Order: sequence, then structure tokens, then C-alpha cells
Amino acid sequence: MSLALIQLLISAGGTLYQAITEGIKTAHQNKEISDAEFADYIAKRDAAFSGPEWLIRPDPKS
Amino acid sequence: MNCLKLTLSILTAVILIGCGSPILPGNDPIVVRAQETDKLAFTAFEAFEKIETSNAEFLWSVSHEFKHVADAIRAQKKVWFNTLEAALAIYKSDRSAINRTLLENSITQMEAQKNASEASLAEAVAKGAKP
Repeated sequence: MSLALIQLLISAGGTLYQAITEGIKTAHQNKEISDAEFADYIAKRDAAFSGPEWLIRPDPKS
Repeated sequence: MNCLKLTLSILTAVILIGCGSPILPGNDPIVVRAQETDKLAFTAFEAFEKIETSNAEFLWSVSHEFKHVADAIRAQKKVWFNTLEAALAIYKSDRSAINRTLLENSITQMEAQKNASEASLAEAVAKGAKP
């Protein structure tokens, strides 16, 4: 795939592209992560759960 | 335009997946898959939760289902992750057939949640939610 095409796709996809490719990078994991690395990921993930996007809001009155 | 962006994003993702490297010798494929699934699910959930939060009013006006799906993820995420990670730990301590089946089932369940979250994300963007 040419660099120009990659750049076009990146600019076209924006943030959503980044969100997806961030997962794709993980999908290319080709070996086991050590227990320590996996525990580090879990700790960071659980810390991220304190962000506002993870709060359950009451349903708006419609 | 958003549909075009989404299509291009998915196309790119498919291309990148097609270029993936094989699992290195000496690594247990199911362990690699479990770890990947765990991380991918978090990425998918986080992407959808952020879009749902930042477009809350708009998405609520389109369909209440977006918020209800997002709330289900918010409420259940720890149970899903804990279940998969416990199955992984059990399998790594004893790589028996029954523990392998337990882990495979946990991976399948998490993949289903991840896929549902990705579908909701794609639908939200298609309806006009801004990343």
C-alpha cells in the first residue's frame, strides 16, 4: 500500500480511524504478553474507568 | 461523508489485519487470543462510550438504544473483564482441556460484546455522531 494511500485513509478516517487502528495494533500481537505487562495494562485500563464516559447518567426526560 | 469515512476506516482495518504477522513459535495461540480480545474489547468499549458521551443529546434524540447499550457496557464491563481474566489465569496455571474450553467460551463471550459495541459505534457515526 502506498504511503499516499495510507495518508489519505488516515486523514479520511480521523479519530475513528485512530480508535480502530489502535485496536488493530493490539490485534497484531504475535506473542504472549508477560504477566507483568498484562497486569500493567489492566491497571491502566481500570484507572481509565474513572473517566466521565464511564459514568451511568440518568435517562433524559423525553 | 461520515459513511465514506467509516467505510474507509473499516477497509483500512481489514487491509491491516490481512498483513498481520503469525504468532511466534513457543507462544500459546489461545493465550495470545485471550489477551488480544481483552485489549480489543476495552478499545472498542472506550471508543463507543466516548462517542456516546460526547454526542449524548444528539444520540438520545436519534434512538434511546445508544444510551442503553452504553449503560449496559458501563454496568457490566468489570464482570466481563474479570470473567475473561480469571479464565485466562486458570488456564495458564493448568492448561487442561476443560480449562481451555472455559477460556474459549470466555473469549467468545467477550468477542460478542466487543462486536456489539463496534456495531453501535459504527451506527452512531453513520447517524451523524461526531468522534
